[in-house]
Amino acid sequence: MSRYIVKRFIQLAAVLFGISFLTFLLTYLSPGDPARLMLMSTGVTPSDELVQQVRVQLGLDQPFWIRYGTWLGQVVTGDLGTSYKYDRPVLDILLSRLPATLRLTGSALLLVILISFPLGILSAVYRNNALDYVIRLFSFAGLSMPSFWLGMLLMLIFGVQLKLLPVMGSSGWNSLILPACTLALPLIAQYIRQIRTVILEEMSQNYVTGARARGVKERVIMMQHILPNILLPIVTLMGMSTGALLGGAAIVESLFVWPGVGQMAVDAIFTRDYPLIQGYVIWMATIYVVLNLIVDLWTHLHDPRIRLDVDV
Amino acid sequence: MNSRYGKTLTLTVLSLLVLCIIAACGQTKTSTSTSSSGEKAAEADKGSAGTPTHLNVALFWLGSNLDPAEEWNGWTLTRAAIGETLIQFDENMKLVPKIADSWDRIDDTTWHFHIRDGVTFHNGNKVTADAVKKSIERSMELNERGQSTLPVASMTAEGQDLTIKTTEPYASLLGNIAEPLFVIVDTNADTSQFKSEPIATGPFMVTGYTPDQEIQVKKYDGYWDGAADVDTITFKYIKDDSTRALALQSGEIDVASNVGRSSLALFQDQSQYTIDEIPSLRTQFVWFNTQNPLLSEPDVRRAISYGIDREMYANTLVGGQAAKGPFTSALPFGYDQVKGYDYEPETAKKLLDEAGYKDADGDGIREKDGQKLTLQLILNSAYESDSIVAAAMQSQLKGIGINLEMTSYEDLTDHQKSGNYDLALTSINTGITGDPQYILDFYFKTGAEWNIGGYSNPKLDAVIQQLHSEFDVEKRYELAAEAQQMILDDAAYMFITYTPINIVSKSSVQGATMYPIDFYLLDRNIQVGQ
Amino acid sequence: MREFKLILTQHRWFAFLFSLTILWVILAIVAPLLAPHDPLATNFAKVLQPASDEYPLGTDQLGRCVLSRLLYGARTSLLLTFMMIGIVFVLGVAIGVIAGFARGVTDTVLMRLSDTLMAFPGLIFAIAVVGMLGPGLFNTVIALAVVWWAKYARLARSLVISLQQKEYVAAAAFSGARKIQIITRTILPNMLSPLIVMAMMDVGGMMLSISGLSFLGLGAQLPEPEWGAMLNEGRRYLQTAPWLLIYPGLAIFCTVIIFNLLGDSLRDVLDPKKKAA
Repeated sequence: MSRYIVKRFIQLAAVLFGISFLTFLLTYLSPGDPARLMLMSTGVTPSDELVQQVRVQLGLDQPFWIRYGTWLGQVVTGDLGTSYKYDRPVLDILLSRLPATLRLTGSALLLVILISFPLGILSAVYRNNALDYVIRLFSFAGLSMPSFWLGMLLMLIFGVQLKLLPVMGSSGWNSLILPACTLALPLIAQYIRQIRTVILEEMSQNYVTGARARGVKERVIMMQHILPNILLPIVTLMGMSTGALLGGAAIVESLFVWPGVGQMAVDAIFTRDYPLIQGYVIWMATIYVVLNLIVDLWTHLHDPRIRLDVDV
Repeated sequence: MNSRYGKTLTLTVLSLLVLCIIAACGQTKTSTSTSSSGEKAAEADKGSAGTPTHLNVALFWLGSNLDPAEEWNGWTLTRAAIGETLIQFDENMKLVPKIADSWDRIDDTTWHFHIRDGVTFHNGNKVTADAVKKSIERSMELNERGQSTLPVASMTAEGQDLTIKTTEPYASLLGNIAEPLFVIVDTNADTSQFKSEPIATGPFMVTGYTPDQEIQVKKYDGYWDGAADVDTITFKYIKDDSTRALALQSGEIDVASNVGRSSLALFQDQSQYTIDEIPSLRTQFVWFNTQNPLLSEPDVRRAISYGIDREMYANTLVGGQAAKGPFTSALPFGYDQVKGYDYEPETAKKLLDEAGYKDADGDGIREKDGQKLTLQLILNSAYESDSIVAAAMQSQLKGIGINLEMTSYEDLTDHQKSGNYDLALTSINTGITGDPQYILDFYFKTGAEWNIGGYSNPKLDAVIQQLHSEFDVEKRYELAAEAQQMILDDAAYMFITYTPINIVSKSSVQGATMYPIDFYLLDRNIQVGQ
Repeated sequence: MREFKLILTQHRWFAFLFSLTILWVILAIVAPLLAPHDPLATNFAKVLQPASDEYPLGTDQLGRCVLSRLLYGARTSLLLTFMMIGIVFVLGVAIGVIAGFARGVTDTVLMRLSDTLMAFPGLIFAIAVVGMLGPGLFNTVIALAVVWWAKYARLARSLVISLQQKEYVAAAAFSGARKIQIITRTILPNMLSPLIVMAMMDVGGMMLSISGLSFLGLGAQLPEPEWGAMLNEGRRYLQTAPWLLIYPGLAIFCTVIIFNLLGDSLRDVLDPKKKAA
């Protein structure tokens, strides 16, 4: 078991290394000069000399390997570098933006759980009924909708026409509603279907038939046997979605001007803020990989029947 | 067995979630409390004497921090009326005294400024010539633009008199010292705090700052020109112009700068909102790559210049004003005297015919010697008005037989410097120093760094050279007009429109002055009335 | 082919969806015939007009007909999506097959690589790649493809491995067939259906990603009509000309829903377990 854990940790490191290298390479090959972009932010064209000065200041004139090596060395000690645009440590910026993303993500996840579980269960229990079809149609719609379009529609209806909710900013609970809903909807749609499928599968198992034959009430079967059994796969799925969510659903954050980590990342790409981009990517990757590891370990720990095929 | 671990698993995950939310809430409680108090105060903005007045203003740009010596951050201070420079521009682009109440030029390289008596920093310290000198030195030291903006050889301070010696005769010194990089701050205060709390001289002082989000200020009672009428202001950074408009509509903002043209129609109700729009200092600037054989003939370039309807673009599409030369009408550089290009498609067609470009094969595109008149236009994706105008140009030029293909990039520099384009369009601020010399030197002189189209006119060079030694302001303006006419006649560049800027405010807000120059937004005159 | 016809006759829902899809694709192809105006034609006198007789869905900020642009945009969107599926499918399956057969170091390396790519925040990676290659629809597709193939490679690989253990494959090997023949005659055909299902279900997702990138300003170049780009342009007119937003979004929505339904139905059709139920 411990050998397995060690193996996974080595893999984790390898993946992180690979990702950081890839990002660094990409940004290195990317056209666009962060020094120039910085200097042009007010619309005044800088002289070449000035641009060169700033480039040297930012260390952009160094060859690729030196830059990567320096950065790697810093990361290992916990220093993610300094943002070009904000002139503050990347770690600080990431941490200051994290609460906003957490609020958004947490609320969205809460919505997902509160809505998709009941609906998914209902859909399975009343399978092939009118209710089931309605729910499935709704979930299909949710899956197929471009999230930015949905966000704008919600903005239009609730923010502008009805003037019920604020359309921007992050003050108070009001401004959380629209972005959280926009973020949650596609996930709700996905989860409803997953939950329904998994429940149906469980329901076709032998022990359920047996329980029914013994006269156990349907509701008892559901609560005491089926639901606990589906928790594992669903939670696994949730774990993976959380990873993506925490990265900050970039589009939703950009649309609602939500000062979270995703918006920061998109911005950083447009301003070629390399240290910030690197920091963000490493952060995202670490979360994803660590979450995966935790979920895998937990699964293996509690149900050794599930073969943890390391390579698959 | 199964249900037990399942339950524990769920419990753990749920508790983690709850913890996250609590943590996030805990973090934001502090920021919410400030903004909610701001919102409460906003309710009271129709206050009579006694109730504090508060304003919420949307900024369209925010620098990396509040230290004016770093990068472009000084611009935020001048816009938010937190900091001032020795001299500033007024709404007519004339220089007016601020911290310096008079100045004169002793000789070609020596300038003298008298520092106004009674100016104090936000911490109460008196502003002396020495304080000014130290502040300017600090800006020069900390910012790589310092020396090139203000070529100072030496400065001497005595009481309230400051003398500056430049390294060479520098006629645009006055305009350049108004650059917000040289906002005067108290170097005796704790400068390490300047990133979040600069000590300057403006009518408002900083009380709170959240990087990249908002600045809170309160009025400075010791302001030399009398304390402002508004007690507190919150400046919120809203980057997206349609979001700014939305915020103004919902009441979250009282004053919005640069509301997108597409949203202006929403604020037409004059009982609720006031719109103030003037041409700014920004021009839509097109370089022709004269190295391209198709564009080496002035007649072809003139034809293109006649082939687009600048008036219509300004009136219907992007607002602002039809452009003549590179300097906008807000600048006193002889805009009225200069003759630009009107929309004359017939003249354009004639010019093209005479140059030998005819549409022989009937596909709508002219050609000569087998080569089609197809041109590549590159533009900057940052400016929405550029995209609209480019699309409009494309369809109008098709009408006279020219095929324009467009590609937009985030950064045009590589293409521009390597000559990999035929037309390059971007929006440029051409009046930032309040003086024509810098721009003419930078873009139009033979061999200038940004003369990437390869334009060369010795007569123009001579006029530009004259500017270097002409100190009489009126004469400078005349030379500028002359230079503009030459540039236009040669049609080596094209100027499409002058970009408008606007401030939209609730009608309860008064005293908002519109400055054509980007440095300024609010000043002490801002009021929240009944 | 005969099997396909069999499927169509036995599963009416699938048949219906399939014909709907074909209809949609045909509509996209003949768009130029249906469009009332040239999608690039500007009309400065009728800027930002709501729906009218002349312009059934209104005009945009340059006076261009929204309906015409939508119709032409259909071709672009569909073409790009299919192109992307093609690339991702071929690339992913090829790599997966190689990994599955070669095993050992090649396998580990390839799988680590795909792991790495899957751990990447997909959209951000795509943005970075487009930033590198320059904006443009074609580059957007490449950027997205570079990330998506990993999914297919993994599936292909695990299919290959599990199939290799089946008896008929061993039988083929015993009867002297060459490796290539084994691959093409026995393994590939049996791999196809789960892969195809995955591809069909991804069409919707890919289309959303492409328009997502265009929405952020990276995909379509002016004045190309592409649905995501139209949404981006229309965004600032949220209040003054909401039709610029509603219709392109609706178009994306409808197309994606059809493909999702189709993929879902296909999976039901091909899934042996469901056949029993």
